[in-house]
Formats: sequence, C-alpha cells, structure tokens
Amino acid sequence: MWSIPALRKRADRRHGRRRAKQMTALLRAVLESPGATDPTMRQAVFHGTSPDGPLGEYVAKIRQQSYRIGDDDVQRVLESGYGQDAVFELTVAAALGTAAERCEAGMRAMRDGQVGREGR
Amino acid sequence: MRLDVLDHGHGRRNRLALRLMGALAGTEPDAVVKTALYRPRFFGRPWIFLIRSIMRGRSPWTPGERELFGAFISRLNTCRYCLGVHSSGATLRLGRQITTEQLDHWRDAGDATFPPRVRAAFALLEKLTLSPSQVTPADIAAVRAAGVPEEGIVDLLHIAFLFNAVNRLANALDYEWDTEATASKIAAILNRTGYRIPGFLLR
Repeated sequence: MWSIPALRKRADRRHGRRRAKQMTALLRAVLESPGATDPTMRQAVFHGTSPDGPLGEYVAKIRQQSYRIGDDDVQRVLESGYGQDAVFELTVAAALGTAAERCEAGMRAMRDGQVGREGR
Repeated sequence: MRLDVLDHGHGRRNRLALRLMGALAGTEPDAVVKTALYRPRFFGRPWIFLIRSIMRGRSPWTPGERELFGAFISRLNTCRYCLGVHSSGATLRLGRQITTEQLDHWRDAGDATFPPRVRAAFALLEKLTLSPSQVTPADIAAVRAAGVPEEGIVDLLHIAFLFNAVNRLANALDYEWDTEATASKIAAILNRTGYRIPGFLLR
C-alpha cells in the first residue's frame, strides 16, 4: 500500500514530467514550426547568435538591456526588410533563449550540487 | 504596441474575443493575452499552458509568493508593465501592500515583510536574472538551507524562465497600461481567471 509521502512523491514526479513536456512544447513551437522566418534563424537567435545590422542590434538589446529598446529600434529592423511577423517571431525566440539560459544555469548548479552531495 | 499585428492582426474569432474581454473588464485586454491570441499555435498556446502551470499549478510556493517573485524579477529587469501587474497581484493574494521600495530593499526587510525562505528565493532569483553565469551549487544550497524543498527550487527556476522571457517581450514590444488602476484591474482578472484562456481561442 502507498503511504502518503510516497503518493506525494509520485504526484510530484508526474507534475515534473508534465511541466517538462509543457516546456518542450513551447520551445518546439517557437523554434521548429513554420513561420515568416526560417526555423534555423530562430534557433540561432535563441542560442544567442546575433545577425549583422539592425536586427543584430535589436536582438542584442533584447538579451542585455531590453528596457532600452525604443520605437526606433523596431522601426530600423522593419525598414531593413523584415516584416512584422518576422520581427514577432525573432523577438519571441530571443526572449525565450535569454530566459532559458537563466533556467539552465540554475539546473546546472542543482545538478553539480547533487553530484557533490552524493560524492561525500 | 510596437508591432501593429499584435493590436490588429488577430483572426476574426480572436478579434471578437478580445473586444468582448475589453468590454467586460472595462479596460484594454492584457497585452500578454493579446500576444498569446495572435498566431496562438506559434507561441500563445504552449505559453499560456506553461504560465498557468507555473503560476497556479502544484507548488510549495503559494500563488501570492509566485506573484511576488514575478514582481521582483520584473523590477530587476526594469519592466514597468509586469512590475505593475504582478506587484498588484502579490498585494491581492498576500493581503498586504507590496511596494517597489520593499522589493528594492529586500535585504534589509524583516521577517514580517519577507520571511527567510522568501529572502533566500530572492537571492537566487537576483543572481539568475542579473549574473546567471555566476550561479553555483552554494546558491542552491542556501535556498535549501532556508527550508525550501527541491521541487520549490525547480519552481523558482521556472519562474525565473517565465519572467525573464515575458519582461523582454513587454519591453521590446512596448506593453503598457495607462494608470496603476488599470494594472490592478489586469491583476484582478488574472487572479480571478487563474491565467486561464478558453482552449478554443488558442487553436
């Protein structure tokens, strides 16, 4: 028979799996689905590779100082030949990529700590 | 918003839904909802499911504490839009006023303002947000030592993901509310709906 802590642990594991699936679904939709931009371009922006020109400057600002973005930054990207849908897709990819790096940094520290604790 | 498609580019069904939401709430719909309802299969559908799970799903953190962490990260990222909405959300859920000043001086706050486990969470969230490459196992251990279980630490990492993403969207795309009363209204709606959006609008 299951004890209450064991049931709770099972529920936690189920919850963890569901959350991981939701995270994967989000990243797959943004990085792999067809759109106005090529998925490889979105993936590059997600991983921090900034293209040259106004788009590169815009993506770098999203990653580092998004609060300094102004109308001009977006306007310059639009004038350089990207449509609104393309800018939308690349903005989402850059924002998620920067956020994912932060989550991953925490996960890595958790894993490293786990190894250290088990090694003791 | 800086991209016209996010204000006016929705399909007919979602355009009507947004108009209805605005009329019922007596305010412009939340910019996050407007973004989510634009081409929802590209972003909004999985995004809304994830938000709901992180902000209202099973967690050792109360919904009020999660709103508080959202406000805290938004402050660090200088995101006025999310700070306004989520500090109002935290105020509503925690039953006491959460101010920007409290968030700025969290290290000096007493246990009554921010209990030790919340301060430990703030320390981790601050490092993850401002200097992620410097996060070490010791930062995680400090949160654990404050009495936060493993799943609570994972939840903090997911909250950091959520708000570091949405703050950048809000700043880049120029999400705005006109007065603080509007921000409180949006927070009240999110609180009432629990971040739910009817599934058929996300198809």
